[in-house]
Amino acid sequence: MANVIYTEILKMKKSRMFLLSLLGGIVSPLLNFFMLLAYHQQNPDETLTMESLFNQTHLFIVFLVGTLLFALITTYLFNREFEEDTLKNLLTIPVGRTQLVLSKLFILIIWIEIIMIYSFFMVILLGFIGGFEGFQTNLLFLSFKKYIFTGFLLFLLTPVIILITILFRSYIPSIAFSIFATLGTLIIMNSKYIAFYPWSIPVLMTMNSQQSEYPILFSWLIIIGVFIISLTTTLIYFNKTDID
Amino acid sequence: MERIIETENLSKHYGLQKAVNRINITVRPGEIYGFLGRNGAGKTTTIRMLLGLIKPSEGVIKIFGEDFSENKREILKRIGSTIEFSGFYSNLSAVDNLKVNTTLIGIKKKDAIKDVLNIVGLYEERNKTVGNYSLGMKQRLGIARAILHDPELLILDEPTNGLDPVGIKDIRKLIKTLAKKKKITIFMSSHILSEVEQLADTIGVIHQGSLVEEINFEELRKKNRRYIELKVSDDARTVLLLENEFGIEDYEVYPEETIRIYTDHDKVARINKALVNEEIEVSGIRLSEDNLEDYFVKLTEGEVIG
Ligand SMILES: Nc1ncnc2c1ncn2[C@@H]1O[C@H](COP(=O)(O)OP(=O)(O)OP(=O)(O)O)[C@@H](O)[C@H]1O
Ligand SMILES: [Mg+2]
Repeated sequence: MANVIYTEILKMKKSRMFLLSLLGGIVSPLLNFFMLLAYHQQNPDETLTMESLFNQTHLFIVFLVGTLLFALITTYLFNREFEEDTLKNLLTIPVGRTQLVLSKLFILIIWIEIIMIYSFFMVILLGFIGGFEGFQTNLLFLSFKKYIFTGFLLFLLTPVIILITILFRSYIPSIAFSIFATLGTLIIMNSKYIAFYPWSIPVLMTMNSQQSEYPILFSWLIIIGVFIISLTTTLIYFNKTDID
Repeated sequence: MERIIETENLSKHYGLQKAVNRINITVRPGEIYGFLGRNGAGKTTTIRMLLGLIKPSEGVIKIFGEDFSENKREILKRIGSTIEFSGFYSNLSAVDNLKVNTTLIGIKKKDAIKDVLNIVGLYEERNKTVGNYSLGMKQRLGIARAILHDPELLILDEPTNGLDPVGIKDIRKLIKTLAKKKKITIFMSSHILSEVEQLADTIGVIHQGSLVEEINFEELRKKNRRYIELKVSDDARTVLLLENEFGIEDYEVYPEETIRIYTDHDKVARINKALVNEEIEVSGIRLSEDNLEDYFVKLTEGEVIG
């Protein structure tokens, strides 16, 4: 397993997607930084706080950017083996098909958290540059925890994308799917169904403003259920599918 | 071990199409087996099954004497392969691409990568990203990757595809060396008869999914040598005359007073005259059209291979 993970890292060398994903990670902090600055110009008496920059950026990630960006990464990790036709080499070495999926899953969570941490530090950097107020250890600590937790929740949804990628062996279906999933979140967000719809559960669980009428356990069961079911389906399908 | 590869009624169906239809292949230790067939004959499909990439619809595969479906992992470790469209990570150099394999296989030998790159003549270009490699270079890198772990069996799918004449010659030499010096058994597919002809000990011809011929090359050559066929009134006396007057020993006598002569074709006029002088009646003289190429054309229904 360690070998497979090591080669997964090796494969990222000079990979454009890694840089691109870091670029994706900077979008939310940067956008919100400018939005807050613009807001500040119109309302000069309100102070620019680190807390608002952290929260706004987080909101952006959990709602919009996260699902899409992480779907892109997920698809890249799996689809490149089909696209570059390297899967045949791996499977005839032989690397076990289950082992391969699990190793990539491991890389995926690391990658997602790298982007979350990267965004976190971009917020700090931008806040520092913009002279935002309220650099408190407590805020930094809580925000860091929230970012990591958000990354984890979004990760739990990635096996759905893995399954779609392996089924269709292309970028378009998984990207289309994640766009619809995101639209779904926007629609459901203000209803009570926020507790049941997998893609809005991370919103519910990481934003203090969101309250559910239902025990949070329901939502946990759903999101973990989605993870387990889609991953199991992926493994079963991938293990018996023909590789042309 | 009598047999390296043995298949029994191996088949793969795609819907109604029988891409591979009940083929029985036998590959013996140390030989080069040429798997010959036209485009779409089912070569790659067969190889995919031999490598466990697709599941047979029917049939059994035995490799190294063991059931493949039950010992897939252990068997694959002893095989090196290249397959149609087998790719590389285009963002990585040749060395890093091979490093993926040495890491996954757990090859400890320090110079393994250097050695195989030298063998295929890519060492100078080892640090170039494979995305910038030419087709022929990729083909050679594929072979390098296949022999990285000193396999006992090499399965090569059209190894000279896309190479220029010099490249083809190089690969041919390489394959020969691997077979003779390292005693690797080689199963290689091709759609070019002349390529297989110069390498293989045994060939299997696949046509529209069926194995239409599997034969030792020596035998095949014998079967397909050019000859002059004489129909005479007395074969015993003709044979005496051929041996004594012309020193011809390479001939065969067939029923109905028919004799095939495999050498000295330039003497046919003189032979005829001598026979007539001896009052042996010659009712027919025919130069065989058969050669290897024609033979395969026949096997594959009148369309040319390669
Ligand atoms: N996944 C698939 N689905 C449907 N048909 C397929 C599939 N794979 C192969 N075939 C069909 O099986 C037949 C054999 O194909 P195969 O690739 O084995 O031929 P080949 O002998 O390797 O030809 P070539 O010399 O062109 O490489 C072809 O008719 C092809 O269309
Ligand atoms: Mg082929």
